[in-house]
Amino acid sequence: MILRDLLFEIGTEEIPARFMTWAIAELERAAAEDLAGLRLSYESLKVTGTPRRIVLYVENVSERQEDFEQTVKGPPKTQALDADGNYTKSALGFAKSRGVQTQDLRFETVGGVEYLFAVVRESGKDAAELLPAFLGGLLKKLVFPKSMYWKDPSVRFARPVRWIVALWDGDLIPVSFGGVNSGYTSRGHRFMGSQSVNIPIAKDYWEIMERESVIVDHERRKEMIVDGIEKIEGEIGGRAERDSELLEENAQLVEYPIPFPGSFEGEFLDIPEEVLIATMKKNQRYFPVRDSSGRLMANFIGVSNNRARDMAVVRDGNERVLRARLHDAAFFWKEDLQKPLESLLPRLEKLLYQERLGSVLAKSERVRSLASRLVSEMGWDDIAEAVDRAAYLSKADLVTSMVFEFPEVQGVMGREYAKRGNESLAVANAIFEQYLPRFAGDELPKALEGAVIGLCDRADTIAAIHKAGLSPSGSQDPYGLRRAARCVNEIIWGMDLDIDMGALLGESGEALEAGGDVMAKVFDFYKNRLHNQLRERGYEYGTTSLAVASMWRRPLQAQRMLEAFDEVSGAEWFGSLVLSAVRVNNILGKLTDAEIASVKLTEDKLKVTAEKNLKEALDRQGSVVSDALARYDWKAVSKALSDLSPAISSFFDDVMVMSDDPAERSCRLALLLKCRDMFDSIGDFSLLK
Amino acid sequence: MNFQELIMRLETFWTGRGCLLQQPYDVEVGAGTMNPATTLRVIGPEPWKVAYVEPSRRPTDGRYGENPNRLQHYYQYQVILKPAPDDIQDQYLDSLRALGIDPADHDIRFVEDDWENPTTGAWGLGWEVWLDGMEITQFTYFQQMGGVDMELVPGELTYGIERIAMYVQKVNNVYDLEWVGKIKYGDVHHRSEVEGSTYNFELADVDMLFKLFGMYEAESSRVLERGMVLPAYDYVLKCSHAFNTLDARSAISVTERTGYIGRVRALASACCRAYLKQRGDMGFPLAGKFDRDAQEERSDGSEKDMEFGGDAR
Repeated sequence: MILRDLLFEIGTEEIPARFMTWAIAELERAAAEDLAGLRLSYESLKVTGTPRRIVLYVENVSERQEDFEQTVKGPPKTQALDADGNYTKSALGFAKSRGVQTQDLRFETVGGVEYLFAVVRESGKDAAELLPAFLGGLLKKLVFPKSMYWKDPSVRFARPVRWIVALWDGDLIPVSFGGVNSGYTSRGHRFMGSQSVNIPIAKDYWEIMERESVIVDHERRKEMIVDGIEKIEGEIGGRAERDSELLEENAQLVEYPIPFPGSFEGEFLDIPEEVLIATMKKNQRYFPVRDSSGRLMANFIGVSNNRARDMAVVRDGNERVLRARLHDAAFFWKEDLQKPLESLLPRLEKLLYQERLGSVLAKSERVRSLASRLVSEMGWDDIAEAVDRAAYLSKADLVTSMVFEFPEVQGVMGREYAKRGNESLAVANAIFEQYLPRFAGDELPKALEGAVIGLCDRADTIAAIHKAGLSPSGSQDPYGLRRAARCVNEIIWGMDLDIDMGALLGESGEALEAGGDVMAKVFDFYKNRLHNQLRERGYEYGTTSLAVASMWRRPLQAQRMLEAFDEVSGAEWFGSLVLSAVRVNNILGKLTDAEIASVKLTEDKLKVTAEKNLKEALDRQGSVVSDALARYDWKAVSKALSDLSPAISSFFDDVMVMSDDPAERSCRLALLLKCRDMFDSIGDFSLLK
Repeated sequence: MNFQELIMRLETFWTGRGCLLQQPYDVEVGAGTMNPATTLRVIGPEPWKVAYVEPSRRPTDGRYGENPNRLQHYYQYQVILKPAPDDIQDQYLDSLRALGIDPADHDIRFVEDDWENPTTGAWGLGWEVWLDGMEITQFTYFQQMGGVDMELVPGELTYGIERIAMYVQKVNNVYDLEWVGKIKYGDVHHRSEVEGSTYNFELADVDMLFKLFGMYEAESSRVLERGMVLPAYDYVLKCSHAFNTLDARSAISVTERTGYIGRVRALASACCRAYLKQRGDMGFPLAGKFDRDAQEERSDGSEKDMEFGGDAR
C-alpha cells in the first residue's frame, strides 16, 4: 500500500492564547474521528500550533480508502421468493435500492426467520478525492469560545485566516475558506523569519519552519521556556515557580520563545507579595522568582517572542512597564493604609452585589447575622467575637484602590489592611480565609473563623441568586453557584465540621425573604450538587442517593454514612438486606392504612424459629440502631444491620407472611412494620435497588 | 522624537496609505471610537478610511496631575480602515517603523483583548499590541456598532500616543514628555489635569448634570424623530459625557448605573440604525470612491514608507 503524509496548516492572525489548548485538542479529536469515518488508516496524527497557525500533520496515511462491505437486511424469505423460487418484485426492488445485482443477494436466518440480505460493496476511493472535503469540514468544525467574521459573515474563526497550506506529500489539496485558497506558501516568524515560505513537500514542513524560527510544536516551546528559565535561575540564584497555566499561556503567546531576566527595585518588596505576583503574572505574564528561603526576589523572568538585536532593549522596556505598575501598586498600598477598613464600610452600599439583590453592604450584613447564628448554634462561643468582627469587615477591602485595580487580591488586602489596622490576627486571617478554597486543589481555611464566614457567605449566595431567578442551567452558571456549593462541602469535609446546611440555607432564605418555591429549588440544587460531588469521590450511585436523601442536611454525616455503607455494600448480607427492605416495602405497601393500624404483635403467637429470631434480633438491635443514629455512629449502624440481615432473610425464607391465620398474619406484619420503621429511620433502601 | 512630531509622523504615514485626515470632534468624547467619523462611518456598505487625533475625556481617571501615568484628558490617535485590508497587521507594523520603532529591535506582540463599549452597544475582537510588555495600541475588528452588524468589517487602530512617546523619549512621567523644544506635556496640560480633576471629583454640579442628561436625552430623541441623525448623535455624546462626570462625582449608585448606560445605548443604537437608513436613502454615496483611491495610494504609498523607515533609522 502506498502511504503519504498529510500537512494542513491554517495560517491566522494571532489567536488568543487561551483558545489554543482547547482548539488543538478539538481539532485532533475531530480529525481522528473523520479519518476513521473515511476509512483512511494512518500511522500517527498530530495537532499542534502557535499563535499564528494551527497545524494538523498525519503521517503515513493510506493513499486509498479501505474497501467497504456491508450486509443490509431486506424482506423475509417468504416475501422475497415466489412459488417458483424466483425473486419477487419486492426482492428485486430491494436489490435495486441498495445498488446491488442479484448475485449479491443471500439469505440469512435472524431469530429463526430467514431474511434476504444484500451484500453492499464499495471499493475504496483515492484519498486525494476525499481530502478536500475532509479538511474543509475541519475548518468549519472548529468553533471557538468567541469567534469573529472579517469578510463573509458566515465564515467565522477566532481571528482572520490569512493563508492555508494543504499538502498530500507534494500535491496540493484544494481547500478554500473565507476567500483564502490553499497553496504551498506559508509564513515564517513575523520578525525572525520570511514573510513568504515555500513548502514543497509535507515532510519538510517542520524543518523549514524551524529554519524560519517557528517552533510549531507547543510542547517543545514549553520545554524551551523551562530550559531558559533554568538557565536564568542559575544566573540570578533563585527559583521561578513552574506555574503550568502561566507556562502554557506563554508558550501560546510566542512562535519562538526567548526567556529573559529582568529586575525591579527592592523597595517594592514591601508591598504584599500577592500584589507583586498578580502584577507580574496577570498583567505581564512574567514568572516571579523566589530565593532559597521562599522569599520573593526583586527579579522576574519574561518570555520574548523575538530575539531582538539587543535583548537589553526588550528587558529595559519590560522593566519600565513593571516599574510603572509597581509604582501604582505602591501608591495604592500607601493610600489604602490611610483609611481604616471600618471607614470604608459605608462605600459598600454603593457597590452593587447583583442588580436584583442590592448592595454588597446588604449582603455582608446578612452574612454577619448568619455567622453569628451559626456560631451560637454550634456552641463556638470562643470564636464568636472574632467571627463577628471579621464578618463585619469582610468585604471592606473591595472598595480599596488595590482591589479595584487587582480584583484577584480581594481578601489578601483585607487581611493585610486589617493587620496594619490593629485588628486581631484571627480577624485578619478570617478576612482572607473566607475565600478559601479559591480554586480546585487550593488550601482550606486554617481557622474556624474564616470557614464560618466562607460558609455563610456561600450559603447566602446560593439562596440569593436563586431568589433573583438566576439559578444555573446547563453550562450557564454565571454566579458560580456550583463552585460555591462545592467549596461548602470541601470545607465541611476537609475541616470535619458537622454543620446543618439545611438550616443554614434555610436561614439564608429567611433573611432574603425567599418564598417556599425558591427554597425548594435551593434545597434541590444543593442536594444535587452534594450528590454529584460524592459521586466524583467514587461512591456508587445507589448508596450515594441513599446517603444524600437521608443526610443531605448534614453533609459531613452524609459523607460518613456513605463511607460506612460503601465499605459493606459488596458484602452478601448487605445485598440481602436491600432485597429484604424492598420486600418489606412491597408487602406493606399493599396494605391499607386501616389494615396497618390493626396489626398486632402477640408474643406467644410466634411459633416458627425464624419469627422468634427476627423478633429477638429486632429487640436486640432496635435500640442499638436508634442510639447509633443519634450519635451518627455509622459503623455501629452498619454492624447492627449486619446482625439483622440474616434474621430478616431467614424470616422471608421460612415464613409465609400472608398466612391464612389472621392472628399469625397480624404478628408477622407487625414484625415487618418494625423492620420498616427501623429501615426508614436510616434511609430509603429502595434507592439501592 | 517630540510629541507633536510623533503625531505628524502618524498623520503622514496614514494619509500616505489613503486615509482621509480628519480632525478631533468638537464634542467631548471618551475615546476616538465615539467620534462620528468612527461610530457612524463604520456602519453600512460604504468604505471609509480615516485618521485623526482624538482628545479623550475620562473624568474618573483624573489624578490631580499627581500620577505619572493617568490623565482625565489624553490623546488617542485613531485610524479606521474599512474594510480592513488583508495586510492590516503589516500596515500597522509599518506605522511603528515610521515612528522609529523597528520590530527587529523589540518584542512586539498581539495579545488578545476584546473590546466592548456598553454605552454605544458596540463590540469587536482584536488585540492590545505590546511593545516590550507595554500596551501601545488597541487593535479591533468591529463586529457591531449601536447593535448594528458590520457589513464591511473595519479595522480600528487606537494608538496611545502619550505612552508611545514616553517609551520613545524614555521618560517615566507623562508630564515630562517633550511636546516640542522646551515645552513639556506638563506645561500644556498639568494645570488642566489639576482643575479637571478638581471639577470632576469635587465641584461639578450634580443637579445640573442630571438635568442636562435628561435634556440632552430628550433633545436627541426629538431631533432624531425629525430625521436629523447627526445632531441627534451629538446629544448622545453630551449625554455620555454628563454620565461620565456624574460617575466621577459618585452621583450614580450602582443600581442606577446600568439604567443610565442602557439609556445612552438606546439613543446611540437609534442613531446608528437611522444613520444606516439615511445613507441608504442617499444611495450610499461613498461606495466605490475609497476602493479606487486606496489602490492608487497603496502603490505609491509603500515607497514612501520605505523612505520613512530609512529616515527613522
